[in-house]
Amino acid sequence: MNTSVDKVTAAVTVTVLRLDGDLDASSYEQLIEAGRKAVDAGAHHVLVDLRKVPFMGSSGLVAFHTIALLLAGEVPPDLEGGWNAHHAMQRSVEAGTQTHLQLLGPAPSVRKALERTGMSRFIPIHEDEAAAIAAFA
Amino acid sequence: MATHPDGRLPVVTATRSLHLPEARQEDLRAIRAFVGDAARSLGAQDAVADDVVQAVDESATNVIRHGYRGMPGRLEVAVERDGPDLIVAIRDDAPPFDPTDFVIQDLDTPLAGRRPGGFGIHLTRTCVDRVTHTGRAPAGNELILIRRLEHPTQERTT
Repeated sequence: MNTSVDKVTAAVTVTVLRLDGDLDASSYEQLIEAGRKAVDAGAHHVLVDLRKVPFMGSSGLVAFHTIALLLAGEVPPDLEGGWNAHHAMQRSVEAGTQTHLQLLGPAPSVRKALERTGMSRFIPIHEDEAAAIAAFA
Repeated sequence: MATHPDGRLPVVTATRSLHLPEARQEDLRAIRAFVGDAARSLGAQDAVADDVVQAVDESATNVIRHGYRGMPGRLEVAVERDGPDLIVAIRDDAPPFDPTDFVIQDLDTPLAGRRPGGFGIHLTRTCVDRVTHTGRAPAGNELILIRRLEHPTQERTT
């Protein structure tokens, strides 16, 4: 999987992490690292572009959780702990759907995985990039 | 040949198998490609093949990452057609672990109330119709995943 980073400034500045390739157990750490670098550089809003991700395993969910935690100012567990970190999103979930992390254009099978695990309930999903960027405002 | 959990002899029309003597995380992509191709060649439509691929990826990831703790280890994946069913057998030499014992989380419960982790097992169980596990002492597992070919997929959330 390849990862590239864009910044789009509208009402707010959104860091767009564009993925190309399968997001699985062998690649999810790349996404976490890209998210970590973005947050370290001051990002408050991250859009993960999944339009070129044909497959996502549950490890992709761990990456989303970890990035959301970073954006919320939480200290995520280490990567092994991150595998079991789903519960750590509780503060954001209890407060409602978090909006600092959003997703763009998941393939049908990827969307299905998000829905089957309930993740789609608290990570907004968009099909259109302009609409996704506007949703951060 | 995998034995159907009902005990009946499978009416196997074809079998595809993949043997990895030293499976690693980097092999997951090849495993997915093999399973997707095998499922389609045995009559699965794309949505069904995608479900089977997801289930096998999650199971294989658990074996490689947790069973073998990242060290290379034997992994065998066999895909068969048994009448209306696809049957996938995943065999390894890792310490016995039965994913069917895992309690599925209630998706209506906020994550705050959920047991941490386990989405891989959850996905496996929601993507197929039946999962059975047989462990061997002191090490080794056979996981059988059964997916009906004609089953609708859209409502499969539990």
